[in-house]
Amino acid sequence: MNIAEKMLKYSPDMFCCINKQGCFVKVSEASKKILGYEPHQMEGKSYTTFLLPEHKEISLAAEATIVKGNPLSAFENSYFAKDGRVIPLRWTAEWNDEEQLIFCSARDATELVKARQQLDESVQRYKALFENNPDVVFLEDNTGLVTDVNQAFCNTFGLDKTDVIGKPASAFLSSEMAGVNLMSFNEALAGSTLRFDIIHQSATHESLTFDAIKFPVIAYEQIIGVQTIAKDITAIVRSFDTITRQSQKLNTIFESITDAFIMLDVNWKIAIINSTAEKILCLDREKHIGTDFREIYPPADFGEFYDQYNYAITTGRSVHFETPYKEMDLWLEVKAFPSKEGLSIYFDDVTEKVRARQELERLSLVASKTDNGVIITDAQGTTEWVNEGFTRMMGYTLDELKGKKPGQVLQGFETDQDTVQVISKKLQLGLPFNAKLLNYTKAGDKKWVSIDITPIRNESGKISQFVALQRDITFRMKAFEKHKQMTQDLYRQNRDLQQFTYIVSHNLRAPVANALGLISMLTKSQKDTDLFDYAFANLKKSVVQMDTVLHDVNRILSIRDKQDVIDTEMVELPAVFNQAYSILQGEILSCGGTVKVEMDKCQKVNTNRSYLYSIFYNLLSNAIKFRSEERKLLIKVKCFKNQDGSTVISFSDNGKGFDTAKAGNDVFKLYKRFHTDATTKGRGIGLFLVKTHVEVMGGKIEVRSHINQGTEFMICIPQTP
Amino acid sequence: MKTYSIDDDHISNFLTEKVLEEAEFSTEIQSFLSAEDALNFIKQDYEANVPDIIFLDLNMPMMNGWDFLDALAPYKDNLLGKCHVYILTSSLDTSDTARSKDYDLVSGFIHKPLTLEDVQVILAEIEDKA
Repeated sequence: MNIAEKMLKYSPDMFCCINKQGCFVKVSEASKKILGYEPHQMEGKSYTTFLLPEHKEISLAAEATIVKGNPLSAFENSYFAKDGRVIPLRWTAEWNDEEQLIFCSARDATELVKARQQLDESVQRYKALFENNPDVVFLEDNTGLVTDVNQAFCNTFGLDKTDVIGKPASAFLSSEMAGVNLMSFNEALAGSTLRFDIIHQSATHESLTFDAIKFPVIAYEQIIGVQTIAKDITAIVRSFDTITRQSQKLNTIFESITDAFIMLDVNWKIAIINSTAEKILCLDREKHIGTDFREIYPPADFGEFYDQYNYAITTGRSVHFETPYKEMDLWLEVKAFPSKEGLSIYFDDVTEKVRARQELERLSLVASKTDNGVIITDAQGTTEWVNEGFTRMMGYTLDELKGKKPGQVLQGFETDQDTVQVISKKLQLGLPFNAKLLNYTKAGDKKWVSIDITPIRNESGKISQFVALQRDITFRMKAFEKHKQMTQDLYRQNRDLQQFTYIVSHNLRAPVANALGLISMLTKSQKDTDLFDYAFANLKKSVVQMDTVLHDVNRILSIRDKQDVIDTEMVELPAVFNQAYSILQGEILSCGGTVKVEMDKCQKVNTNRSYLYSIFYNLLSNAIKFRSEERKLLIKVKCFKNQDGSTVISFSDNGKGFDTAKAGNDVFKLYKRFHTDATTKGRGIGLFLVKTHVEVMGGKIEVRSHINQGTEFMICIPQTP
Repeated sequence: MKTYSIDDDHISNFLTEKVLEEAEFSTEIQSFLSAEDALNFIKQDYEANVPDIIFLDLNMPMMNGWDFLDALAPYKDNLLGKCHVYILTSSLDTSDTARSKDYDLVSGFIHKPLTLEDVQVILAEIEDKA
């Protein structure tokens, strides 16, 4: 084999020559490698025998061209191999006139076709991805001019491809964003992939936010341009904004809670810590959120907390308790509210308050063995603590009073409401003060107490508590009441004594003086003279007058003496009135008078019958005595019940009346008269007796009168005399 | 000497009149059963009706002796030295005696009944002043 033959033998390409008839004349050995045929199996056969039928036409056309003297290169068709596979071949061919043959070389193009198909597919795929990408995509060449944009781009920016291709990004971006884009572009051009945000104002003036990725497009190790994929994240940004705002709001709320606040999730993990909680509980938000609460506060050391928390969680009820926090030397007031999300816990540092209370309690203990009662209330007046002395005095224990205002529990029916008002006003002033008040024990007994109330102020000067020291002054008040009663009795006795002195010096002395004068006259006069007879008759009259006065005095004294022991019974008012009326009926009728009685509203009164009789008798008798001559006497008697159960009797006439202003306090005085007429025979004892009787029954009497119009008496008799 | 006796007790007036008659104290004696009547009478004709002597009771209804004196107070300057008021009362109350000292018009305080001796003293006093 010469060298030329060897070259043919080892070449991977198949060399062959084809005659004008289209038959292989000579085929190189490579036929075996490429098609599986030995050269002799192909030689002498038409090349169309091996051709894929669909390639026959193009192959014949190519042959015709070659034969005309035009060399052909890179022509492709496919042959059937011996085993039936289709083998793509790539041909180079040229006509040789001398030999009258086509000299060809064929190469196995399987790999080439495959590669070309793959390339084709990937181009298609890329195209599809590019066009149909829901994100905005645009391509810039390495000079920064847009070379392509996708459909999403056109939709978003409201532009056609033709509007932007060949133009810089500033054609569709705001100048600011174009600047950002340019910077990113330059970096991408330098080989980096980077992310940035594009903010675009839409045609509807909506602010759209895009998350853009810019990366270089590399071909043949050269950066040929930059592709940008921008994802519309407006909705995400908005919801993120909303979430940020809400969490800020929530945070503000938590921070605005002056109490320390933490929230635990259902797994005891700390979800929220506000800044007060960081301070009081020595927590760190960065470090402790998400941590198991039980790790920070081991249940072994914080038993009470967990007892309460577990109670809250299992029952679903909130808990409220006060407990020492030894680690920090604090007292905490804890409120825990369970919910589906976990447990919200508020801590309030009440160390100062508790210390103050403990201090007060210690101080009060000193006094607890005494009879003084101590109440400690908070600034609002709600009881926090009472000592034993208080319980001994009033019967109420701390548990019964705690959380209540002392006044609500202790005050009762007879407690003076004016004093209560004064106390609440003084409490507001915030100064120490004393008050004396009637309170009621748990058993319902009345207790007079002297209360010293002192406000306790905290460091900032604000009132934190009130301390009330109560002393039982019932004994003193009773003594005082007794004293007052005695004083009143003495005063009355003294007044009576003065009145009797007056009676003696005037009313008794007057007839005595007359008698003396008459006796002296009688001794000088002759018997059987007119003067003697006159003097004698008047002497008798004077002595009778003396006797009357003595009787009056005796009668008055007997009433006064019985003051404390009057017998009362249920008395029928109309019956007693009629009794008195029947005695005076004759006089009333003879002067043409009438009596109108309206007493059906209060038939019965618990009082003394004879006094009531005396009252009616004297009033009737006065009405007759002091009747007006100008009109016929009319007496009206009415009675009604007051709301407090007392009975009021109104007794009025249309008589002469008197000048109330002039008479003043003398109306009811003994031997005071207000009429000078010779026709009237007033002795000045009637109204005195009426008043005395009314007062002995515990009642009151008032009078109104107008001269020549009439007089009205109002008598009030209390329910129980 | 014009003399008035003012007393609501007619026995007392009667006794006063009789004693004055006996002492030949006055020929012109007039009794009033109420102070108001006496006051009105004096006021009717001031010149003619003002007496030289008034015997005045204290304890009377409506207008008592003190009220009467208070009612005369405006005329005090004209009455002083002309009209002598003697309180004639049954009262033994010392406070009444003390009170009478406050009235310039009151020349004396006599406990009832009026006696001849009392009248002698009054006459002597009036003569002294005159």
